[in-house]
Amino acid sequence: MKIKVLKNVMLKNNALGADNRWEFKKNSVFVLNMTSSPGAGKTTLIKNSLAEFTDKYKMAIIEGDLYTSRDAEQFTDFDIPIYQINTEGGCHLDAKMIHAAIDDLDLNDLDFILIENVGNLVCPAAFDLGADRMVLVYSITEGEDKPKKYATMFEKADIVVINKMDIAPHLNIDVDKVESEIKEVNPGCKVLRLSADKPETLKEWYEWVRKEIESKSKE
Amino acid sequence: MHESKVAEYVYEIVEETVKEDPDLQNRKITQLIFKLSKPYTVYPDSFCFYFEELIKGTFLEGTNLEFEEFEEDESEKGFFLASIEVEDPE
Ligand SMILES: Nc1nc2c(ncn2[C@@H]2O[C@H](COP(=O)(O)OP(=O)(O)OP(=O)(O)O)[C@@H](O)[C@H]2O)c(=O)[nH]1
Ligand SMILES: [Mg+2]
Repeated sequence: MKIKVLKNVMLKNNALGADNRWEFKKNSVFVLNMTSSPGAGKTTLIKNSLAEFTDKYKMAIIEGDLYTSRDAEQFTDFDIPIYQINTEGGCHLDAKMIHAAIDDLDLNDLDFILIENVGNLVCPAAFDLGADRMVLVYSITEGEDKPKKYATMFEKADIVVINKMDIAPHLNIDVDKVESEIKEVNPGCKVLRLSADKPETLKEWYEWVRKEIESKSKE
Repeated sequence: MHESKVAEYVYEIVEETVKEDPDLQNRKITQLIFKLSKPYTVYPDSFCFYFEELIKGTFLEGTNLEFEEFEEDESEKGFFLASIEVEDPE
């Protein structure tokens, strides 16, 4: 005997993601989920943006890492709440982990939460955290073909930051081609080029974040 | 890799469904049928690997797993537990 169920399995996560989104909305907090392959430059980008961001916004960081707190230790020069999640081998953050972070953070007192997801170009795409936007940091050393190979992550991204542009001249790579591949997978996606370790290249990135935070606070 | 988490979600859904549906109670579950859409966010091979590990020694041990794709004209997107097959009553 066959019994019809038809249940969306990912709702187990995504229903909680929707709860998180509602909590963020109630408190007018803009939440950005930062993803990338391991080592593409998430921590560097966050670290070099903190002077700018903490000057303008009341912010917190949720730091996802397999086992360590190494990345979180990069941010301790700034007096902001940092919530560490260790996934103990898990390849992604899920909505339940973010839910626990919400309980710990005072949302009422925040404008902006930046989530550094676990470095992985596949798994985080399947888990809605309740964030407003997803940024994918893409190191230019990863090659031209990845947007199509890892299409789900690129499809979910609202903005792709092509990082490590300082070393592009030393590589046999056509950055325009990378950008057009991204646009083929996700036509509406914003694309920026920068070097996370050179703060002078980050102006457009700051500007994008500023606009997003402002449009959220007006909702 | 995230299929290990997805395997846990499926296990919970089956438990909940059995609890709610008297037709499923006290019967051996023989097969779970999944439906999925492209692009995949859950890969069947990887899912089976983790799920079969998870159900060892539980009421689901030995259950067959089947995967079907949604037709173009179906509106569902993602990874669904479509149906549960149980042994017919004696
Ligand atoms: N040349 C160059 N190196 C960079 C740039 N941004 C980051 N790096 C280097 O890339 C390496 C990895 O950077 P991280 O910021 O740790 O990368 P991540 O994405 O946080 O890594 P995981 O959290 O482990 O996934 C470090 O050695 C950085 O110094 C850049 O713009 N140019
Ligand atoms: Mg990092």
